[in-house]
Amino acid sequence: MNSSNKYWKGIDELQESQDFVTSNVNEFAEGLPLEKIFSNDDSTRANRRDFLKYFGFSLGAVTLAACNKTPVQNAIPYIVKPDNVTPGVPLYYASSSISNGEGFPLLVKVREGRPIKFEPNKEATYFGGGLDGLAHSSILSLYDTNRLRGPMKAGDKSPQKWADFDKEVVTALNNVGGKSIAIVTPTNTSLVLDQAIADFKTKYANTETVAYEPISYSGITRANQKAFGKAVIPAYDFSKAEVIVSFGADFLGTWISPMKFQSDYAKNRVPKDGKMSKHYQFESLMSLTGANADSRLPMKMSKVGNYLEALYAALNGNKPKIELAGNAIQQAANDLLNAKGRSLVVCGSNDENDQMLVNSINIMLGNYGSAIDITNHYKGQSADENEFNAFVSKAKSGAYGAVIFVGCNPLYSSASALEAVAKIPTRITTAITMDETATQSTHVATDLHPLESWDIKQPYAGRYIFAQPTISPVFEGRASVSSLLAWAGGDIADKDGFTHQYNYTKNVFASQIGGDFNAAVEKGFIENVLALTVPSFSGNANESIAAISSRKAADNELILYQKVGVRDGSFGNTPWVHEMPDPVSKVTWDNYLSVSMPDAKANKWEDGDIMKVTANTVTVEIPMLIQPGQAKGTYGIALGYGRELPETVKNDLKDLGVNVYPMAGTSANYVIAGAKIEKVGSGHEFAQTQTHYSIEGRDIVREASLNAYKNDKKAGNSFHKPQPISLWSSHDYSKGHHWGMSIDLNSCTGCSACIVSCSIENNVPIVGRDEIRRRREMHWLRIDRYYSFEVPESKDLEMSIVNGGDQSLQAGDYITQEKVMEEYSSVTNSSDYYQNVKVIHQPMLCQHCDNAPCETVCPVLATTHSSEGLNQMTYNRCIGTKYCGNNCPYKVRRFNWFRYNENEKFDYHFANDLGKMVINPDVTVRSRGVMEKCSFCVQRVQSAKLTAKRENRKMETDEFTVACAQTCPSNAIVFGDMNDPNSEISKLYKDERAYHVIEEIGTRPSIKYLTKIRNKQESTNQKAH
Amino acid sequence: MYQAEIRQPLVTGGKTYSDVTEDICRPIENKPTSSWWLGFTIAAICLFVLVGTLAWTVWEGLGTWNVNKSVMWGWDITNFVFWVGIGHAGTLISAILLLFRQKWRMSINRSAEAMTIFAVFCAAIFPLFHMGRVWLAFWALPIPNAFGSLWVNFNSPLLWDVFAISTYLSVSLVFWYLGLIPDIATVRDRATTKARKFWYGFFAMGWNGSAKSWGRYEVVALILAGISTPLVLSVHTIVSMDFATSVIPGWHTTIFPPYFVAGAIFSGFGMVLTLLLIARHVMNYQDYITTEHLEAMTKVILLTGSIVGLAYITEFVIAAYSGYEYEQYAFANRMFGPYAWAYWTMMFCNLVAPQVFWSKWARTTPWFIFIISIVVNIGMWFERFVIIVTSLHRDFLPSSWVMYHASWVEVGIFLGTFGLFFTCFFLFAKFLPVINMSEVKTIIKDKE
Amino acid sequence: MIDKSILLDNKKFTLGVFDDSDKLIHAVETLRKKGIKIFDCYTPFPVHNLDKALGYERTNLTIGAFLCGMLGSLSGFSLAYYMNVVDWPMIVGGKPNDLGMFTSFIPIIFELTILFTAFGMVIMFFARSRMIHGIKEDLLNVRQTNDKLVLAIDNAENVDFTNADIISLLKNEGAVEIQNNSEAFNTSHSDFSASKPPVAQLVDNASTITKESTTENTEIKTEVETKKVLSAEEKGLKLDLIKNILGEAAEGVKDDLKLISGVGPKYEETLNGIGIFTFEQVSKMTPATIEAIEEITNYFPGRIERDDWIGQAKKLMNK
Repeated sequence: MNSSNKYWKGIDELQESQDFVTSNVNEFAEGLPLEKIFSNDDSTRANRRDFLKYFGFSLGAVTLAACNKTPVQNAIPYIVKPDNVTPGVPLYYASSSISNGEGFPLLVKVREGRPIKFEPNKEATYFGGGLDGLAHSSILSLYDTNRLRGPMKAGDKSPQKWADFDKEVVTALNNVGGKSIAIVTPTNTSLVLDQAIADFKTKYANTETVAYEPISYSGITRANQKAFGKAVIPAYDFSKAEVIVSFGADFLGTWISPMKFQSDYAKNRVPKDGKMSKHYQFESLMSLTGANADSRLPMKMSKVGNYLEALYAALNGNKPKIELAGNAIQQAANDLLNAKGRSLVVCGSNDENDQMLVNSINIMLGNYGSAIDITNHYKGQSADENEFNAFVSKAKSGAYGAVIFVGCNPLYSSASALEAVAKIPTRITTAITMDETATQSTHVATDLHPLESWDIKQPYAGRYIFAQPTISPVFEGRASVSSLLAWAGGDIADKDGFTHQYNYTKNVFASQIGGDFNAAVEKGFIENVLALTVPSFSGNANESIAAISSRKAADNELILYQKVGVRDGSFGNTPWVHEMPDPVSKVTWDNYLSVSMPDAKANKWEDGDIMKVTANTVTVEIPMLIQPGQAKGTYGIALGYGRELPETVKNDLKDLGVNVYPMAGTSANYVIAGAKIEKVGSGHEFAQTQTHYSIEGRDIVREASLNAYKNDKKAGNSFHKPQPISLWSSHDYSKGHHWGMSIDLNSCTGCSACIVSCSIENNVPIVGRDEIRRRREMHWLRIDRYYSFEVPESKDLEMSIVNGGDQSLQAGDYITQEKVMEEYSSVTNSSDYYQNVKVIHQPMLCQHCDNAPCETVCPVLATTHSSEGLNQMTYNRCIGTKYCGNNCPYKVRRFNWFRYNENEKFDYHFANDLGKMVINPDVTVRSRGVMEKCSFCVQRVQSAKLTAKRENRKMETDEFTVACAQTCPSNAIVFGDMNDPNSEISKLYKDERAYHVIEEIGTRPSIKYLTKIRNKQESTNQKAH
Repeated sequence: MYQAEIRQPLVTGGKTYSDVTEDICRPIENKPTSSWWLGFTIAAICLFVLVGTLAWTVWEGLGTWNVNKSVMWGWDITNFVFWVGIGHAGTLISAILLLFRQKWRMSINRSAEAMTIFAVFCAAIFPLFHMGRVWLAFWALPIPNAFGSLWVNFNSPLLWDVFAISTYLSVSLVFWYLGLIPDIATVRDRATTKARKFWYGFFAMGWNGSAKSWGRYEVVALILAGISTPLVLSVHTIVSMDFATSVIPGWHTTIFPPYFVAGAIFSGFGMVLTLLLIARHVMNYQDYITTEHLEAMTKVILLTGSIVGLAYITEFVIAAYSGYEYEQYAFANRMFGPYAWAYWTMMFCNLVAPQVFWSKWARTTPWFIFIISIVVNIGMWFERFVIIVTSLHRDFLPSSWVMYHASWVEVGIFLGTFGLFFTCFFLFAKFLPVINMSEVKTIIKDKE
Repeated sequence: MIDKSILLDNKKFTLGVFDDSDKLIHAVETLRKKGIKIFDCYTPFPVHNLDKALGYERTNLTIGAFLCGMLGSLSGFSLAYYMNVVDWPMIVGGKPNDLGMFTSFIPIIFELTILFTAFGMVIMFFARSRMIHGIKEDLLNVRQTNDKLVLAIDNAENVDFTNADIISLLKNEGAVEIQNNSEAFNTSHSDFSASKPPVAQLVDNASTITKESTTENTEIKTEVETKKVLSAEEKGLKLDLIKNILGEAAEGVKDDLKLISGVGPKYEETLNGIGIFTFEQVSKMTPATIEAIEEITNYFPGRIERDDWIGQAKKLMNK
């Protein structure tokens, strides 16, 4: 980052207001009274006073001059303070998320004119009031050093003037010579952009619009086209479903709109009065959703149609042709039939016939109108790849004179488009960075970042979300809307002090929605939805069944999936999502070929082997990882990697993973039968944050079955280790506040949003792949993931295996110890049981123990306890003996092994001026050699207390919350004052499910976990606990 | 029946007073031998390695070591305890054996004390440089703060370490220097060059060996010995509390203090033997360091080694009996986990190997004793490694279980401390009498 | 630099230079019996019981040490108490931050106690012995830190004795040289390299002895010398005395006296020489006989009592 770039530090510098300019020139805001001194006529014979004056002044002057040795930083205080900007006080603007194109309501936290964090908009209850990791980390795209500084032509080194640029573009567009112009956009959800394109078409009649999405859900849209005459993705409401059956749909992690689905799903997962939803997951890879299912059964995704058919049959009272272990299909069918109208069946397949079956099943179960809403349907990601394929073939034939890519990056995710697009003479892109499409373009019209622009989005029919600028444009960008209009000859000058984009957006609002624009923008969203209706079903299940039965099975299959966090890869240049470990595999920074244990054993493959994978004539070399729970004969590779970032990127984001979009091919087929896989190397070391996956039968996570819980609310949590006797009476925290947290293991899905939210709130540094390989990730909050393996029904169950306490394993028991696993594998000489895995997620952060072992051992009192029960870290007192870290039973303390800021070895946002703008000013950026850890967001605690004090009132109940709790989509984390009887936390602390982790060592933590309840028929095995 | 024993003489070869003086002053007054130069050069090179690696650590950050989020102490504290342990034999030999009137100590205590001091130097390096911000190390001292109240934490075993180690170092130094004064005076009065006369005169503090001074001298020596004995025991007790007072399974053990002290004496004597056997060979001190000395020390090694071995077993039995799954796992993991090789090395070196000293031949065969003494040192290093690393790398939550392997920097620092140690030792051997002349002179005539 | 030797400059000393600690002690005892005031002794190594012989009372450094220790404990406690309880009480690991945390102070108190004791002692010792870095030493004989034991007699203190008496006494006690401090000091410096003991000029008849005297075979020489001093009839008397008290051993009866700790093969012969063969005889010894035996055989004074020959012999008899 060359320091010649000047970033405005305050509105005035930006607007170059007059008195700013003048004041900037003078060294002092007000002049010094020098004239007074010198105009003194008898100054020639200076008397003592004068002498002292001069002496004093010259001394001061010299001192000041000496000060200039330090590098000059343009930190100019507000000369004229802008309204409602108070230094040190954050402002919150309602806006829309930028990570998922369709839009998601949120609040942007702005400090001194800089957006520093996204926070969920709790008022938009329909969306659930949570954010995921990607949504959080996408803010960094605003402070991306690779952002374009202005409009560029191919081959340009430096930006051009907009006027010249526009001239060229217009001439180019006018000289298409009868050929047509294509505008490629993401699935169109922005009213403003729609309008702009419409206006553009009035000038250029020969314009076609093409919708493109990297991830296709065309299976659903086509099926719905057939079934209901609407090529749309319906809106799902998992909160209305008591029985959920998912065929390979990772709806909690990556499928369609997981942020919303999670919070809906979680509503039924907490067993209030013994009722909670039942969730079947039939899938091949080990997905986040599968990890949370009550019954998860491994299956081959290529045979999903047959299973759907089987379920369909079972629901119709026929014997299913094909069955899964323990007659799961039949079971699911029974449960579904008992919950007609209160259930939901979803399928991750992108095949029309599969989805048609799903539709007919849901119709049969009467889920339309309750859990499925096709009236106020979802509007995002519903592009059909055929539309784009048509565009490609036409482009090949040279039908286009020009193409305009607006806010999409097809040349990354669609290999077929590349040489076709090259045939189009004029290729215009509106983008904020030089992405794969921009680099292939003749003209790049630098766009405004979403956080710099106005917008009206419509994620669901009838639900509008408003985006407003939260920062003045950082670079010479221009809204793509304005650009389009400019090329269409429209007048895009600012009017009455407002930008063109604002005026245009306002007009669109007036014409299409109407009402109080300012009110709408302030609230952030408007909902005027229609009543749910049960659509008329015109689909034919049997056709689909016929089509499905004609499929031929292959012995193995490759599944292209999305990773939680990285998703489709459009934000591949924001390090937070890559440092965030995958919720299931705990791998950071890489994508990999995930392999089932039986396959790995059969082929003698090991973690880190380099595999050559050939599918759809595309061949890649990629390291492999053994994934417990994955179905035999299935392989998976995550999409969204292998981005081509600009040369300036030097850190681990460069050449990150392998791009496997080409494998999906033009038909967007994510399940490829008969992939060719061979080992070509070995020795890749994954950067995993957790390498030991069994819980060793320890009483860290407690769980019980729903039945057991119905009988006894303390089920699974009945046994409490004796608290050791204390030699001294404990300190009294009953006065004032006593902060505490509760984490509900039932609603926690492990989505890891909290990790990213915490990292951004607390300026946790990015350390990169190698440091994580050395086991030095800095996350204050981690999510522990443990597997336990179900002993399947099989004849050699009589053999007794020593399982800690000398019990013999029965079918349905869970193996939780590494040794027993090995033993079992060797005894049964099979590793198939690795497919039947039970997963538990446990967020782990500083427990703020009242008897904290870490505090006792610090020689310099750098970590002490506050009277409000916070375990405080005094960074600038810490000398870094690391004794506290060793003595922490929860291993949540993190040490600054290097200087992670201003260090070219860690060239992430902390290393450049632009990236540093996202740093939270309320939290110290830790220096090298000090210990750090979760502080319960003490900065939030303090500001809340101060606000209350300033307003001269008592703090309200749950007036504020910490970053992780605030962002949790499933509301699993609750923070509050344990001394406040009305607070949610003090209620949860009384819950029968509440327990402390390793309570017996007497640390008396301030965090309680709530026992995990699984809605499973068979009694949980207490052995493991 | 009572049999008045006739002991073998402690100094053989019928030495007279002047012979003693001649023999022991020779290395000081003559030019250093080629073997001295060789050893000194090697040691100095290692010392450079130490300086280099430490500089790199401070410049780049502790990340240059391979310690990680779970194993935050690795080789550093292992080496610290290792060196402190070695530093125990010296004071112990001089102090406790003086109290017990064990005359065989006299020819070895000087070098043993020197060893103590140099070992504590080496030890002190690690707690210093394992700090993330070593330049702020002085914050661990109870010094007032310019901006109001800010003090150290007297609950912290690390702070106790600060006091214990510094006290131990300074008292040992005083004890050592006090013992040196008469001998320095001897060298002074033999001095032929001006420089030597001045410097030795400077440090002899005008000692003239008057009966009055000797009277007081002996009282002081006795009382110093008296207070050094509990001091020695306290130091390693406190070091062991670094672990014993923590909550980590495998550390949180009440047996640690006695077991660490025994271990310290064990390793200390191991090191003393290693050094003495070299010195004895290089400087031809066979008449002063007789097989009787060696035998006496091997007996101590046999005893302490057995104590340590007993402690290992006790520890394991207690863990097994505790019924506390974490403790049980910690010890099972030591024996059969990924670091089992370290555990079994330790067991062999510390428990099995010393048992050979039941045989008289083993106790009196220098080259064999030398080998065993090396083995003992290796074993004691591994003991500390096992205690620290295997306990940390798998503690309560399996999610944070990790492996730890030292980086080249850590190895370099460890190697470097040997450089420091032997550099000091070679200089000591060159400039100071390695055997306490005045004491030896009192025993040469014990037998007719 | 301070010159400690000025303390002695204005004094005139007569020095008896010995090469054996036991002779020195015996000399000291005899001289003091005779009433000669001894200024001090200088030895290269601590000679046990020398201070007793010189009649020095035990030093009181120990009390000082105790006080220092108490001071250490007190400061250790007050340090910790002030810092963690009075001035800056913190909540640490739920532990008490009042007097209840005394247990945490114990290691500090202990270490400081020892630190203060050690340093207090040593400093007091240096002060009492007038020792400080760089002070110039006061040597009466340059080999007094090497292999010679020097007995210094301040002539001024012993006016009622003539030099000659003192010198002869010293000679009788086995002094290998008799010196006068100033000359001795200078000469010894001058011809140190020769490492030959300087010759004392002031007594002529002493010169005859000192001519022969060289560092080696001092043993034999001194024996010869003492024999000369002990005249025949004196010896006879003493032998009779011994015979009378210890009685004669029967012909051919002979115990292995070597069994007595302190008796080597050589000395056994000597004893046999004066007619002592059996444990019984040894067990009968009385102070008088012991002194006699020591004088005749020139054995270490007081050694027989110290090793408790009588007791040993008794035991050996009733075996």
